[in-house]
Amino acid sequence: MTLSASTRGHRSATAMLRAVLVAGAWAATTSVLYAQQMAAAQVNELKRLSIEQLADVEVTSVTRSAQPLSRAAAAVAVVTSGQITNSGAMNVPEAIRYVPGVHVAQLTASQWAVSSRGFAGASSPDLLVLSDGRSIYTPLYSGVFWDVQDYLMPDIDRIEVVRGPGAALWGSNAVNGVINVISKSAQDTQGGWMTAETGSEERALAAAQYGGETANDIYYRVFAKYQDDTAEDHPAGSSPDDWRLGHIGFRSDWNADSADAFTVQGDAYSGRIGQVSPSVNIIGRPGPAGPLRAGVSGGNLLEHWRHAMSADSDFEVRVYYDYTHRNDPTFVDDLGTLDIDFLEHLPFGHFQAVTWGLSGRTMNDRNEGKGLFALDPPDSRDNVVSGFVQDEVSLPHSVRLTLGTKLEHNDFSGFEVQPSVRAAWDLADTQTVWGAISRAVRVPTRLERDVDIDATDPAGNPVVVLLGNRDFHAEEVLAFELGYRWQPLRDLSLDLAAFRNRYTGLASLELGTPFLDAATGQIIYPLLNENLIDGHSTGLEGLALYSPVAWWRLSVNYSYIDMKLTALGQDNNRNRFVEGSTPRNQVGVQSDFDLPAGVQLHAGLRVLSAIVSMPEVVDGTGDPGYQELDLNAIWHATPHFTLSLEGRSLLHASHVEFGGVDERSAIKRSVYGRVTWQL
Amino acid sequence: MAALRASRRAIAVALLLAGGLLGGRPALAAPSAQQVEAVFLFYFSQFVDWPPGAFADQSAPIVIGVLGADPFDGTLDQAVSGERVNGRPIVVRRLANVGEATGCHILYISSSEAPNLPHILDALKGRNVLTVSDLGNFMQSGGMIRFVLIDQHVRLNINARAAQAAGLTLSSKLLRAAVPAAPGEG
Repeated sequence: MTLSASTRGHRSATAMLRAVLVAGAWAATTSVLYAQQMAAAQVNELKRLSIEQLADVEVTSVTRSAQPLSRAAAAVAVVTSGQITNSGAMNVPEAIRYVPGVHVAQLTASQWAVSSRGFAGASSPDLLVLSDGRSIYTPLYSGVFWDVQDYLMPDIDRIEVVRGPGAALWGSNAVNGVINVISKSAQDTQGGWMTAETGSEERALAAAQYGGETANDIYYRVFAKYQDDTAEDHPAGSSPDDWRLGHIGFRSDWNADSADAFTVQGDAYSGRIGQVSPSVNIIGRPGPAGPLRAGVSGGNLLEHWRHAMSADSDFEVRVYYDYTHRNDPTFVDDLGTLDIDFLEHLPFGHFQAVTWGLSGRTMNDRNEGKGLFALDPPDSRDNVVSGFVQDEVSLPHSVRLTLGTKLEHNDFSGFEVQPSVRAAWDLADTQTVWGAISRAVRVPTRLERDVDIDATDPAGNPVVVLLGNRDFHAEEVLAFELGYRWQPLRDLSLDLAAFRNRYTGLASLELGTPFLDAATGQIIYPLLNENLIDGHSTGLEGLALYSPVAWWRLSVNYSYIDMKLTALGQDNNRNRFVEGSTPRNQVGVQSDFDLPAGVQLHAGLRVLSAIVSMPEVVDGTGDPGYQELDLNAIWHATPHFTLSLEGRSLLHASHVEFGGVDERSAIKRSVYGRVTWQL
Repeated sequence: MAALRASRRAIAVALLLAGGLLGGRPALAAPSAQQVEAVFLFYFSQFVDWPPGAFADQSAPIVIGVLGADPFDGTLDQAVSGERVNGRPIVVRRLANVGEATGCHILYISSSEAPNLPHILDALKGRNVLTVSDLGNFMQSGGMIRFVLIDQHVRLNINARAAQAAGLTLSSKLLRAAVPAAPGEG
């Protein structure tokens, strides 16, 4: 049966191949004409960009380039280094607050809930975050420890935010979005600078960097940073959330020849993070006593090699090792991750561009509970092997079709296939319509698979135990997206995206069949994660940029989401409440002024509707909506000195952004002053 | 499994045919550095103020000169074609030597002119001409704007003081788009 099918397929493929060769000869004769038409189209495309954007265009020299954003068949937004500087953002969550479709909320002085298209939570499980290609999403629980994701903000080249499934290219957990933090080349950060900052919520921030060049054209930078933040308005009787973190790092870039570029970079950090509430809280069982502080440390080393075969084909190899240590009041976790990625871009005739890649990752995790919390077994080595292929096809009438899929095998849920189909159509030079259908999954975490916690008195009989479930499989989304971009004027651009996501098999906590533990004689009532929540979400996102004069830029963004989840079982941990954990409406307005005498002003206003419900709160109570204003003034006093004054959350003495009453702080109004000295 | 693989290959081939035979528009590949530089040169005409004396009259064109071997392959002409800046059209002239640069407002000095660079910049002293080049020693030699290829991006080194000395005012927007020159190149 299999044999005959295979033979038939082979024959038809051979016939096709012959036809291709004929077509190829025909295409070759017309290629000169195409080249000329393409060059003209290219230049017109470039003229739609501002002068700053032009400097950010990737050109063909060593590699293929990224497609202009205005033509991408996905909901993509980029925060540039200029925008980060103007806004005075001190960390990545702050820098992406104004990206439509993204919800950023501060829980405590160091904790953030960052989510895309719903599922806001202290851990936002469906958002993949990469730092120069290094995954900073922890497999321990679903999410990112934002408190240790420290950056020297001036070294960030850009932050790319892709909403919706990015799974076909990036792999599991890119269910509702991917954030790529991309740092500047060392060649771009030559020279030295020092900065010192202090403020009402910050005892001190000091950073210094030096960038230089060796005799053989190797560029490098080295930096050090220390930050010490005071506590926010934490709940009475709770532990303060002040924190401090030291961070050193380097990056070196070497363009060995016109075809090869190498990057080596690394970081190391150490700090102490205050927590308002324990990381794990079991109702009815005592948690850790005394001040809650997590000792954190870690580091990473990453190497990247890009080799160009021709103007439009290249391959990349990335290898990194990442180590994190977290001594939390309820557990000690040590995680080592080794990752190797290979990626190749190939043109395939005149009308197709193929990208394919292979990736392998091994994670060694050791997690020891401190009485209340435990993973069983404490040690685990988990591997992920994946491959992907994507083909971008150009069709007549300026239609581009992108087909891709990722095939992955992981030790948590086995094989996962994550395909996507995307199409974009340029209605005119200034208008693009796009649509996409994709499937993505979130693979289970160690917490869901290996957890072993007594939910009632461990000495009692019977005893209720929170147990991992090895049959828990990946959560699934099928996403339908539609988008429209229009640049009616050189100074005005609009970007709209709509989506409908269908979720199946989201996690819920269910009571399993009781059994007798022969060793202790106890009756065990197991609580297990099962895939028993289904639902859907609908949303709309818009971004308008307007810059009528060279010295003023205005941006307005709006996000709407409506999510409905249905529990098919008992849902003992109220995971369905996550349907209300993202504000239904969010509006952001940013305005930037370049004034005479080297003064720049930035204002950001954000208005968010209420958080209706969240799983963290038993009775489903949410948090009220809020509006806040951030201001930043920068004065380039001399070529060597820059002074800035920043006000955060200026409208209220304090306000709550997210979290249950006992688990979060109210974020205080704050003012900061900063001086930077450029050597 | 084998059947699946074979049919997938057939789909890929069919797609290739669809693209090849129907003659669709190829995907816009990445622009070349020269294309980006051509658009930059056009933008400079918008972000630089020349003294009134630099133009014969209100409607005199802004002249972009290309001195030496022209690397732009027609893209510079495409970039400025039909464009007007403050009512002035923009014209591109190809020049064989700096003596022909009279009347130019922007002068792009091609890499082919590397040996003559000191002489060229000397000859332009005191004239209202914005000098632009890719040459590595351009900033040390007193040039105003250098295109630097960094990590596949065309970045700008700008010497605002040299421009000022030539009577030109560069807009803050242009200055912000610049990156500092490497040490020893300022």
